[in-house]
Amino acid sequence: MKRTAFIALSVMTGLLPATQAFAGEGGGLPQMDASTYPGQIFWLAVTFVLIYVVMAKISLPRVKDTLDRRQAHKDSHLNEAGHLNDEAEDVRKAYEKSLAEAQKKAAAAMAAGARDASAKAAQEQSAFAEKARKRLADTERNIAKAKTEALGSMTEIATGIAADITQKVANMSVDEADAKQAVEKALKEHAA
Amino acid sequence: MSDNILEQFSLKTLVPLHAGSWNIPFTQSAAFMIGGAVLTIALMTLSVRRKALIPGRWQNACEILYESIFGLTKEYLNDEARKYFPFVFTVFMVVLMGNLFGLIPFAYTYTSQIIVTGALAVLVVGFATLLGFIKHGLHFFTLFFPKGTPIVMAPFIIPVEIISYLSRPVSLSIRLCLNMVMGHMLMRLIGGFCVTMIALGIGLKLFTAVTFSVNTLLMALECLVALIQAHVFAVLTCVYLKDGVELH
Repeated sequence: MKRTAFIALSVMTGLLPATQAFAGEGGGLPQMDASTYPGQIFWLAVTFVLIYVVMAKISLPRVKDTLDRRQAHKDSHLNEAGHLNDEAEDVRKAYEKSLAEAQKKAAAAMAAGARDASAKAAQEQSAFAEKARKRLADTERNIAKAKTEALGSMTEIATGIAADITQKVANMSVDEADAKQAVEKALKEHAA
Repeated sequence: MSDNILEQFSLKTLVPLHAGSWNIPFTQSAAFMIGGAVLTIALMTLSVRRKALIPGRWQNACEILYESIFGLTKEYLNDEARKYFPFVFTVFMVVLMGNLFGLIPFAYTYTSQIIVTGALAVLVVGFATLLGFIKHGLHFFTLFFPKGTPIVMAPFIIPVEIISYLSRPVSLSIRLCLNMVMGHMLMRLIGGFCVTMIALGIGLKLFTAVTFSVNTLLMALECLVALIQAHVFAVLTCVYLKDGVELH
């Protein structure tokens, strides 16, 4: 209760000045006092002209100049960047072109190399085959020769052995030529 | 401190001056006008004296003011923007300085004087009208009869257009003045209320704190209003100039 009274009192005392103002002590709003108008208009005009002249003649052109200079600076940098970009693009194109050329060249060289290599391989292969065939033929011939030789000496050995056996078993000497003849005859019979 | 919330709007003569029969005292209002002019000139001149490519803080503030108002002028006046830009900029700065200076405690808000905003509005509309007559001669009157309107409508349209044209300076000045007056009255009212409660020694500390907080928030709102009203004044200046220059 006391508290509410306090609040009400406070609000009323706070609002008091407002009622007093509108109750009008000597004409209310000071803004309506026309006697102050000439002075206010005069000083406003002074202020306005002062600001206008300084802004129009000095400040605003100066700010504009600053902004223009910055814009020009930016533009020139952007321009330069554009040029550099174009140059870089050219370099890239040249690089790609030379890369493609090199690739083409490498492919051609590789194909040529492969062709050469296979030709050489075929050549070597045929040469080796020829040599091998020759050696095989030689070897076969040698074998045949050795066989013939071996067979030839066999007759002799057999003749010797036959003569010796005859000597030892029958105790009779046999003529070498007869022995040989007999051996050959037996070989022939055996072979048949 | 006076109990009268309108006390803050009364003028106090600092130096009595006379020009012939005219009484032009140098009041605290005039002092703030000149102070605003000096501040504007200092900000717009000193901060760009080095014309730095990379702007410092002050130069940046100056460039933001320049570019925002130039952008606004350009939006309405296109190719003619450069010619009228200093005018629009000066109007904006005069209003902005009045509005912002007034938010400093004990400072005087010269834009709360209807004669000041009225003089500015008459200057703006008068300048636009003069431009219209210079550029278009008597064709300027076609402004009151928009193209494509049926001729039968003329007796209705023309008076309406004329009244709306004549009410321009009235609405322009009253809008700004009342915004300032009401804001300051409200802040003074709530501030006074707060002070009264403390003076009476009322034990409602919380209530005092609340009213004080409300006033603080109101102060922030008034800062916004100060900027917006200056901007609105500049926008309408551009709109009226556009009508004068282009005739719709």
